[in-house]
Amino acid sequence: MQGCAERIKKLDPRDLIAVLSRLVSKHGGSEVFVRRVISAVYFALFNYWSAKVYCRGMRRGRGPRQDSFPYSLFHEELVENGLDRDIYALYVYRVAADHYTLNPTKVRLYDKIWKGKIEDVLLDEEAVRRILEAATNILVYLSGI
Amino acid sequence: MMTEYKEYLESYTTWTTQEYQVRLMSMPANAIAYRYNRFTSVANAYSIHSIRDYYELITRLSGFIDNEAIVKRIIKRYIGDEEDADKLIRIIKSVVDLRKLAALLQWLESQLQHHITGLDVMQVEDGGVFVIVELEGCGWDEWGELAKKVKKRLVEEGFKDVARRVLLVCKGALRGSKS
Repeated sequence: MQGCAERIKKLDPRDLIAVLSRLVSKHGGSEVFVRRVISAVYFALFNYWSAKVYCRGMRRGRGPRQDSFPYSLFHEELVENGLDRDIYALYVYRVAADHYTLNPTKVRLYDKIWKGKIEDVLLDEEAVRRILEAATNILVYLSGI
Repeated sequence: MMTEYKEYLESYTTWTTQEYQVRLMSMPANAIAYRYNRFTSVANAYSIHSIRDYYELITRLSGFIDNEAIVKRIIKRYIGDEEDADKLIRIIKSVVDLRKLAALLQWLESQLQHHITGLDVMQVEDGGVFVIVELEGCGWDEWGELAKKVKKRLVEEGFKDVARRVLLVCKGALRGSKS
């Protein structure tokens, strides 16, 4: 597929994760910083995965150019490969960072007809460190597919 | 004792599917409960090691078509006191084969000695639903290793569909200690 290697390279989040790791270890961070780091890491990994999937050509996404993929496919692939901890942590913290105002808070992982599991979440430097560790593991897997 | 268990197990494994169905469907609930309790004793005492061993035994016990009494009983054990257990089971059933899930739960407890504290579901923002198996006694680092080990085993034994839709979650490990 023409241009695929270039597309994958452009969406590789390695540099972003390295920069964020350095920033966190040097400066810690305000809550706004913590929230944006977590959200950015999740979506950077998702974009990278989707480029890989698109270029493998095995699955076609939605949209006029068939390049829009659902989050759940991303989760399924990682969970199948034993990255349960990493994607679960990343998802729970991202939901808290993007959709919940209080900190600490309680995130409800609901199904539309079920009340769902509740996780206690604290968005702080320790959370960012764990998210970056999870992101590094996911990146190792994604680099190999 | 072992001989007795062995004979008991073999009596199940040599029944035909139709025989299972007829026998199980004609049993009252307490008899099914008794059979289930005997089943867990047999499974524990007899050399059942793989997820597939559990799956095949559960399949033989529960019949192939509509008798889910034993499978539901196994699943309900992990749901706990939830008043809407049947509703949760219906959601879980829409995500994953109940017999395969029951086999995984039995294997996790008997072979890996992990205490399962609950079953739940979570929905990702685009609507995809995953089953959560909540475990106790594992920290952040162990959680990472355990999930890889279990998923590798599931895929090797031909349960890729379960590996994709079931999440192992160590209770309290998001905020707990590293080990």
